[in-house]
Amino acid sequence: MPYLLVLPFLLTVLSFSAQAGNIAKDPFNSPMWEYLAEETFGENATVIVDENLKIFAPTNAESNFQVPVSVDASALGKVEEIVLMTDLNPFPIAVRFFPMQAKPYFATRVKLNEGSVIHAIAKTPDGIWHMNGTFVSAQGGGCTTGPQQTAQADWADHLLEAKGRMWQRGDSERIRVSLRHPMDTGLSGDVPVFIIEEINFKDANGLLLSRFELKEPISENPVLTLDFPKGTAPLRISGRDNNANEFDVEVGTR
Amino acid sequence: MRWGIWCVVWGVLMSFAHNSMADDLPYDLKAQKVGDGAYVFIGSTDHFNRENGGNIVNTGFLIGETGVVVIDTGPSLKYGNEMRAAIGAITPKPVRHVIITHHHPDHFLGNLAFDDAQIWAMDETIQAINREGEGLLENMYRMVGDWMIDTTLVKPGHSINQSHMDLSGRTIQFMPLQGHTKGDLAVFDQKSGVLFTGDLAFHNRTPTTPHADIAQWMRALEQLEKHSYNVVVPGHGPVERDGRSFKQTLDYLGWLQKRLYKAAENGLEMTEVMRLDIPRRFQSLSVARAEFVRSVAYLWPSVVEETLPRLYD
Repeated sequence: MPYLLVLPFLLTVLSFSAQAGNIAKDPFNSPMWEYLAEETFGENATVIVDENLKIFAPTNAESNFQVPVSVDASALGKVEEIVLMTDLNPFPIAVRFFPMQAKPYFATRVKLNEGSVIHAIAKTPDGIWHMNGTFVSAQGGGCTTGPQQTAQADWADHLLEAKGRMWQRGDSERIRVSLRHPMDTGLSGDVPVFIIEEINFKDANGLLLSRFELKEPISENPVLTLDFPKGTAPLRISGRDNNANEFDVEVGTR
Repeated sequence: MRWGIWCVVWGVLMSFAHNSMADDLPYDLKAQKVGDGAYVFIGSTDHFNRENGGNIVNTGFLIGETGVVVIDTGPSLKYGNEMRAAIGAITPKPVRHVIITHHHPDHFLGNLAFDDAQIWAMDETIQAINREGEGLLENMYRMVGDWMIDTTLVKPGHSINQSHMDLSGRTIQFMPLQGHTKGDLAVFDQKSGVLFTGDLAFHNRTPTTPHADIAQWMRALEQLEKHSYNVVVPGHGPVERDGRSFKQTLDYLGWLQKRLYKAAENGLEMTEVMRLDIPRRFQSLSVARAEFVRSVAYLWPSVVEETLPRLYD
């Protein structure tokens, strides 16, 4: 009988010692966290849980195809990169954001294959990754499930058409850009992977101000919102998809 | 050894739990008389959950000369069966006709209990059930579990194309509207003056918008407000007699629409919109925050699409 009591203790000790580097345990209990963190940041990375990193997503997905997420790492000071991870998706990493001149804040929408923890992990210049997360249930709720969405039939006629705008907001300029693109993951039907891979924000002289690398979980017709310091606009937004289709548009003070 | 005993005890307990499960989940439907030969079953104003088994909806029935007309059949076979039993306790006349107001799962998944009657609905409703019915049913099993046992999809076989019908000796007026969904049928019983609004009207319960067109919905409510009635049976929430459910629903939808467009004009992103303040007058409505967040999930993407200007080289 006594050895039965010792067993869980032993297992706990073993799991701690088996844990490589300094990757914090996941307070949100995602079964994929340790594996994904090691894969993504390396087994010697230092990843800490940090509540100063804010992530917001609704507790219920409603439409699994358009789940809004925002990440605000402003309280961490200078941030080099933010990774958004949808743990239980077949391709977990949703986006890598390199803020550079922008505030370490962005909002977008992701697809969820099932209910999952969504993690945001932000890297500060000292090389430490700061992690926070939130759980999104994706079983629908209330009156009915959301409208089913499939890639819009006329996507080819409007590929990479851009919409967007700049807003003056106190000490910052908010930019929103939306692009027509099916963002096919390659996992449904016979449709190969077809996604926008990068979106770059540049000033009038072509100097790179901020950059996003998009991955499969980003929703069809991606929408990105981010904040620059006052006086940044007008700027150019450019990028390409994995089939080398490109776009390059200007957003200014209208 | 210990484990063996525990397994047996557990097994016995679980078999009790399982056997008694179905009987332990009664909806306890109580018919409320609202007019001459007109009755309703008033559900809770909460979300679907495993405590209410999906009974968050109002249904009703009318006793005619030769039979009974049922309006909406609830969320499950079990609900439909209980409804039938409750009707049987009031009248021996058979249920001959069922009218479905719209395609949301809490309003028609009890159809199987009435599959010997004629089930009527608008074409738009029948098409939506053909399109989304299986998914809606599956989702209900996920949300309320055992209450759904043996529930299968029974599609309305009769399409409503006329403004009036004489059903079992009662003259029923149909108002084909839309806005909550693409097909919302309001049903007026001339004899009793009872107006069944389907989910066009919510009362003391925050409206839901997964298939909504807010502008159409508001026009439909303005039309219903002008109609005569003695009693209004909203889709959710208590019955009323002075049109307050119309005013309440219009007030909320008008605010929701304006708030979303204002947020888009101010450059807010979706998760900021979900966290906006809800005016005091709506906070007393059931599930106000949760339904507002859901409405943002459904309505915001098209507001952004509509309001964001094109960018060029």
